[in-house]
Amino acid sequence: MGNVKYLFVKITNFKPQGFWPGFSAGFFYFGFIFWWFWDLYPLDEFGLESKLIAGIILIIAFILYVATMALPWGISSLILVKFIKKIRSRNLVPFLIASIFTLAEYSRAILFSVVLYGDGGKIGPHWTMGNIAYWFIDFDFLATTASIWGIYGIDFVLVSFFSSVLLLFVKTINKKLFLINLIIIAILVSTANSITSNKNPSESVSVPIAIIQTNSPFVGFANNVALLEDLKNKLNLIQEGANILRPESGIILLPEGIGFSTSLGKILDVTSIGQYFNSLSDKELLIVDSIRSLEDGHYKSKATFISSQAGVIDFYDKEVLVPGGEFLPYLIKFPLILLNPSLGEKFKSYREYSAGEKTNIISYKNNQIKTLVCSDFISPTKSNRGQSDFILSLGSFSVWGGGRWVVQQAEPILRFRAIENDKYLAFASNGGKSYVINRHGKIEKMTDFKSYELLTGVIVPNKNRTWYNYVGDWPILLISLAFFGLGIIQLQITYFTNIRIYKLFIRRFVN
Amino acid sequence: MAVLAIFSVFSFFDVFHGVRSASLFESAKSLPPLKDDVDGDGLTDSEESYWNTDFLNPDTDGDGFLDGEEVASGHDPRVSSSGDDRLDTAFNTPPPIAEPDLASLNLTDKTLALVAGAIGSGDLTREASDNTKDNALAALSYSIIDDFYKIQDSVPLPTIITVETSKTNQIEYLISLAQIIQDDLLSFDQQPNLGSTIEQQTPYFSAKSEKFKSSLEKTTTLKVPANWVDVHKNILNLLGRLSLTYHQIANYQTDALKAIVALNEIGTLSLETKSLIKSVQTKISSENLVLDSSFYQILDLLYKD
Repeated sequence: MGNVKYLFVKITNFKPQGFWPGFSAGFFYFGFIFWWFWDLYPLDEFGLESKLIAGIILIIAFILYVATMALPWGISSLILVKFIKKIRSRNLVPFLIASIFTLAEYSRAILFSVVLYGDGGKIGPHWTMGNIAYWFIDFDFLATTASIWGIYGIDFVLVSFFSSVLLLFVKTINKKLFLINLIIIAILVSTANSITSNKNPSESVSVPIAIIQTNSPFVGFANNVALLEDLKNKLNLIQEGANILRPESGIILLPEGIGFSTSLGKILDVTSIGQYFNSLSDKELLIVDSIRSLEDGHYKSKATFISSQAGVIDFYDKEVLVPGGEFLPYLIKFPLILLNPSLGEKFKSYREYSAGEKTNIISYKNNQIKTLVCSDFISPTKSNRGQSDFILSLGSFSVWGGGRWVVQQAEPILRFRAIENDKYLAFASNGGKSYVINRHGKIEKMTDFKSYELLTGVIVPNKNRTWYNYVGDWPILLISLAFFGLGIIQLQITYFTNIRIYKLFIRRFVN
Repeated sequence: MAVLAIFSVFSFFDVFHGVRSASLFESAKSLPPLKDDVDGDGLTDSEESYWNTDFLNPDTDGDGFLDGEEVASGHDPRVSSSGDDRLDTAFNTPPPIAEPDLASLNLTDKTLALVAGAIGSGDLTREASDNTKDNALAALSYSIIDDFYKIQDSVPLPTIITVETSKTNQIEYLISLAQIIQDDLLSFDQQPNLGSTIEQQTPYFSAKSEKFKSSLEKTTTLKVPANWVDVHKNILNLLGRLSLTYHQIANYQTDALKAIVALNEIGTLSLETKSLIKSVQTKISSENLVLDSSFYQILDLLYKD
C-alpha cells in the first residue's frame, strides 16, 4: 500500500525533465507529421482482411516510426538541460542550442534508417521528413540559402534566431547580446543570399517536357474495364504530350510504379512496342517510365529511359526504399518470427525490394539527368551528388488512397531539392500532384490533385554546381560540432575552476 | 518451340539424374544385357515402349493375361479385361498415340519407359559418359515432345456458326470478341503469386484452365461473319491450347515432363495472342470499321500509322 501511495505521489509530482520534454514534443510533432499513416488503414490493398489486425499493425508501426523520430529530440533536450546551464558565455547559448538541434536532426535522419534497417535498407541521413526547414520554403531569403548549406544550415539559422528570441524573453540574454546574435545571423543569411543570386544557368537552350499524371490504384484494378480505361487515359495523355512536343525533341515523364511498358507488353510484342514509341513523334523523344522488375528473387523499382527511336537506353533503380512498404525492417521481421516461427517461411515468399546500386545520373544527348524515384527525393544526400543539368523525379502516392497530407509534405521537399542543386526539377506523380519546379524552388506549373492530367513545360538545364553539391552537409555539421566543442570547453573551465559546481554536477548526474 | 522444350528437358533430367539415376541404374545393372523380352510376356522391350507398358511387369494391367497375349488377342495390355479393353486396331497398326487423348497421354511415363527400354537393351549403360547419357535422354524426350506437339496442333476445332458479312454483323461480333479478348485472353486481372510454391499455384493454373475452357465454349456460340472465319479459327485454337496448357501445368504431379513443356508453351501462346490481337486490329482497319469500345480505341492508339 505504501508503495502504491509512493508511486501515486511520484506520478502526481512528475515534472518532465531533461529527456522527456524533447521526446514528448518530438512525439507530438512527428505524430502530426506521420499522421498520413492512417490513410493506409485498413491495409486491404496489402491483402489484409481483418480491420482489427490492420489497426494493431498500424498503431505499432506508427508508434515505432514516431518514437524513432522523437528520440534524437529527447536526447538533445537532455543535453540542453544538463549542459547549457553551465555555459558562461550567454551569447553562445543560442548557437549551442542550434548546434545541438542541427546535430539531432541529422542524427534523426540517420537513426530512422538504422532502427528500420532491413534487407532493402540503406543506412544514411536520408529520412528528413518533418525537418523544420521545410516549413520555411516560402521564405525566399532563407530557402535559397539551401544551395549553400542545405536544410541543416537553415535549421541552424532558424533555431539560433528563435532561441535568441526565447532567451531574450526569459531574460537569459540581454538586448545587446540579442542584437549581436541577430547581426551574426543576418550577415550569415545575407552572405549566402549574395552568393546564390550571382549564379546564372550555364545553358540557354531549354528542354520541353510533358509530364503525365495518373491516378492508378496501388494494387490492381477492380476489373478489366477499369484497367483498360486507365490504359486508354495514359495512351491519350502520352499522345497529346507527344503532339505538343512534336516540333522538337523532348521528354515524356511518367510516374513511379505505373508500369506503362509492362502494360504495353501484355498487348504488343517487342517489335510493336518499338513501333509504338517511334510513332509518337518524328523527332526523338525520351520517355521515362517506371516498372517493377524481379531480379534475383527481389523486386526493383526501376526507372527506364526509352528513346522513341533507339529503345531502352538506360535505367536507374530506386535506392532509398521505404521500410515496411518495400522491405520488412528486422525490428518487425525477427520479433514476429520469434513469436511465430512459421512466419519465417512466409516471409521468404514475400518479395522484398532491393535497393539499386547504379548511379542516378543518366546521360542523354548533351544532358546529364539526375533521377530520383519516389522516396529518393526525401534524401538530400542522395540527390546532391554528381554532375547534372536537371532533375527528373517519379513518385506515387496511390498507397495513401485519397490522403492529401503526405502529398502536401512532398511539395516543399521537392522544392528544396531543386534549390539545393540549383536545378530545374520535374516531378510526375501517380495519385498526387505533379510539378515543374525551377532552380529557385518556385513552382512554375502544377496539376490538380489526383487526376489524369498532362502537364507541359520547359526545363532550363544548368551545369553549374552549387556549394551544397560540392560539400554537402559537412560545413554545417562541422560548425555545429565546433559550437558543441566550444560549449564543452566552457563546461570544462567551469569544471576545473569551481569545485562546488563540479560536486553539484556529479550529484545531479548520479541522481 | 521444340528447341525451347529441349532446354527444359535438359534441366528436367538434371533433376532426374540426381533423384532417380541411382535406382534406375541399379535396375539396369540387375538386368541381363541385350535381352529382348525382359519380363517374358511376349512383347519385346521396344514393343513394351511402343505400347507404353511396364517392361518389368509381364501383366501391366494386372488382369491375369500377359501383355503379349493381350496384344496378340486384340486387347489393350494397359486396361484390365474387366473393362472394355478391346483394341480397335491390329497389332501392327499405329499405337494408341494416333488417336490421342491428350489429357491421358503421359509424357513422363512414356519417356521413362523408353529410358528403361534403352537401359534394358543395353543401349544406355552405366559406364557411358554423362554427356552420352544426356544426349540419349534428350533425344528420347525430344522425339516424344515433338510427337506431342504434332498431336496438340491437330486438335479438331469446334463447329463455327457463320453469318453473312455485313457491317452490323461484324460490329456485333467484334464487340463480343473484345470482351473475350480483354477478359480471358489477356487476363489482366489474374496474376500468379510469384513467391509461392508450385503446389500453392495449382489452384491458379486449374482456374485458368477452366476459364479458358469456358471462354472457348462462349466463343463457339458467337455468330461469325464469313470474312472473320480465319481470325475466329485462330482464336478458338488459341483458347483450346491455353486451356490444355494450363491444365497440363496444374497436373504437373501426374506428368512432370508435360508440365514443363506446357510452361514453355505459355511464352509462345502469349506471343500468338499478341499476334492475333494485331491481326484483329489490321482487319478492323482494312474493313474501315469504327467501334465504340475502349479495347479497340486502345488498339487504335497503339497501332496508329
